[in-house]
Amino acid sequence: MLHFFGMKPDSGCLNVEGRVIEKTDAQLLREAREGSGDSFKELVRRYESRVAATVVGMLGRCPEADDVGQETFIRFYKAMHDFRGDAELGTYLTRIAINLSLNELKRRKRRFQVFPKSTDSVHDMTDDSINPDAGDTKAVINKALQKLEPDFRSVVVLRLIQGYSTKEAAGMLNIPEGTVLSRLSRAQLKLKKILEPLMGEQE
Amino acid sequence: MKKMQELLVRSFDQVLSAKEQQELDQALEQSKELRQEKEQLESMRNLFSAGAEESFRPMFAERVMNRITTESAQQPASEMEFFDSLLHIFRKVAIAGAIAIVVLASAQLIVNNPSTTTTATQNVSEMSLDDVLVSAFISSMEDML
Repeated sequence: MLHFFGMKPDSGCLNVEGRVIEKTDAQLLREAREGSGDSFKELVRRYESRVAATVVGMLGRCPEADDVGQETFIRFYKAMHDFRGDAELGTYLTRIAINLSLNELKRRKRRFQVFPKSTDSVHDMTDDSINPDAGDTKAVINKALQKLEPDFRSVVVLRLIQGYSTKEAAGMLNIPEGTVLSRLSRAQLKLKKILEPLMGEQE
Repeated sequence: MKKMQELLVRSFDQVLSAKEQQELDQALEQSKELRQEKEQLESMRNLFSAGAEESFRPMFAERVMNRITTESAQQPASEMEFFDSLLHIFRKVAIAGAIAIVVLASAQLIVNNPSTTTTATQNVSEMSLDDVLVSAFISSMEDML
């Protein structure tokens, strides 16, 4: 059940030498469960980058990415009392983020089928041009990723961007390890073709 | 060559069998093209691992906290809706139960006292619903005693 936060304004504490020692995830989580908004906020800050890499990798840079990112943490907030810590917190959040992103892609696909000429972010994603001169490598990678089917994209995001093992990626996506490997293989060959101009330039 | 390409891609993510690894090593030694392919794949994978540093728009944590606070504030309203719907369902169940009791009591009355029931039916048009229910209830209670 949701509740209002009590005020516990610290996310770190001082040791005898007066230096700030960062609290562990477990400490922050315990405090958040006891009602500390600041501790939960610190967890959000700590894992924002990881969730963003997953969501932006899956959806591209678009307004929906921010919404899905927020929704990831809200889902976690609602479920944090049930979080037993079997998996690392980052892995748990990535799992939520990847599933919400896949749901958003399904929604996007349905919307695109209904309104094929819509000029929203879906249209932007299907832009065929990859311009290595754009200077922003991240943006180019992102655009290349958007050219993959969502199933292939999710494997690339988890394995190559987030660095999870094949086994972990398979667990998060609920598919066999062999499927992860074959999708990864095919995705890499396709990505290599798409990114060849950029990689040539870097060498 | 295509087989070697596949082996090369696989070699990044899984341990190849001794035989496959030997084949790949030999092919890499002999083929400049395959060596270039390996370099390209490595640099591509490096590019992707650099993509792990991402962020949302500024003040992301604050937006998350605002949404949580807003949803918390809306929670009592939805709880009220839940209890209202529960009450609505319970009311229907209560009415159905009352009707069932009346029907059962009437049935028992007819089975046990057919003559009384005939008289009662003759006069029933002159009675109110409450009178009918009360008399049916009293009769069935008397039968039970």
